Amino acid sequence: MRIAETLNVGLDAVAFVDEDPFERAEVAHLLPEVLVLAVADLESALAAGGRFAAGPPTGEGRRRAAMYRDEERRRQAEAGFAGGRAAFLRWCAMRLEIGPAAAAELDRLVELGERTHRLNSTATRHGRDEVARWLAAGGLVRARLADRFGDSGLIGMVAVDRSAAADWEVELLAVSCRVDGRGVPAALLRWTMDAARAAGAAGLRARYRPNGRNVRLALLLRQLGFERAGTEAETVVFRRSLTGPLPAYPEWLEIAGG
Amino acid sequence: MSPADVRARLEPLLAAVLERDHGEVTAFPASLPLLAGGLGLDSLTGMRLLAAIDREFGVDVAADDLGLDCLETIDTLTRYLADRA
Repeated sequence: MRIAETLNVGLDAVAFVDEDPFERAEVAHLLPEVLVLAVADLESALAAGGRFAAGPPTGEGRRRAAMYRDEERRRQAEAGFAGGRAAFLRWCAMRLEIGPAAAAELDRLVELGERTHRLNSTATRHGRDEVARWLAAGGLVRARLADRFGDSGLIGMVAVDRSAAADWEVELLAVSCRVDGRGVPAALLRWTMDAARAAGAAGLRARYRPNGRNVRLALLLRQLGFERAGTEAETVVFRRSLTGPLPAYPEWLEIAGG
Repeated sequence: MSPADVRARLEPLLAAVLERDHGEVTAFPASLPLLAGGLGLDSLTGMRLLAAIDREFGVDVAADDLGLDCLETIDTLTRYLADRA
C-alpha cells in the first residue's frame, strides 16, 4: 500500500509477485485489488497482456517510470530537508514553462483532461474533439515543469474562450496530481490573467463544476480574488476583475515563456 | 445554534488550521476576510478547515455552497453555520 501511495497509483495498478504461497494468500486476502502472481506465472502473465498491456500512448506516459523515480528522490530529499516547505520548493529550482499548446501535444492534453480529478475545474469529461477545437481556436495554454530532479513534462493546461469582448473565460483548468502542492494551478491562472489583460479584457471568468474531489480549485479561485458571478445548473461561474494588482506567482517558481 | 456558539466552536478549528494561538483568533474582527488579503487561508489550509467544519458541525460546505460564498469573512461563515448547525 505504501508503494501505491508513493507512486500515487491505485492498488489495481499493482502486481504482487512472490514465490511464497502463504505471502501470496495474505496479500490476496488483505488487498483484493492487487494482482497476485507466483514467480513461475509471471512470464506467461506478461505475455498474455491484460493488466500488463502496453502503457499509455504519449511520451509522458512512456516516461512515467522515470518520473516516478524522480518523484521518489524528491520525496526523500524533502523528508531530509531542514527549513520548511517553501524553502524546499525554492531549493528544487522549479522552472515552469507556460505557453500556447502545439498540435503535437494534443494526445497528452486529451490524456491530462481525462485523467485529472482533484485538480480539474470541471466534472465534465472533455473529449478529443473538444480539446482539438480549443487547440485550433488558439485558446489552449499548457505548462511544462522541470526541476533539479528531472523533467515532469506537460503537467498543466488551461482552455480559454476568448470570443467575448469583455471577459475571457476559463473553460477547463487541469493539472496533474503528480505535481500537486507546487503552485502550478495558481501560476497558470496568473499567466492567463496577464494574457487576458494584455488583450484588453476587463475580467477573467472561470467555470467550476464540482466533481466531489476538486473543491481545492474553488478555494484557489477564491484565494486569487475570484468571486461567484453566477450559477448555471451544477456549474459556478467565478469572475475576477483584471483592474489593479494581480495575485503574485508562487515565489518558488521560475516562470518561462510568454 | 446561536452565532456566538458557532464562533466559540469555530475558533479552535481556525487556530488549528492556521497554526495560531487561540487568543489571537478570538481577537480577530468578524469582518476579517478568510482568504485573499485576510487570514490567508489557502487551498490546502482551506481544505483542512472545511474537513474540520464537517466533523464539528456536520455541515458539508463544499457540497452545499458551491461558490464558497460563505468563506468571505469570519462573520459570513459564522452566520452560515448558525443557520445550518
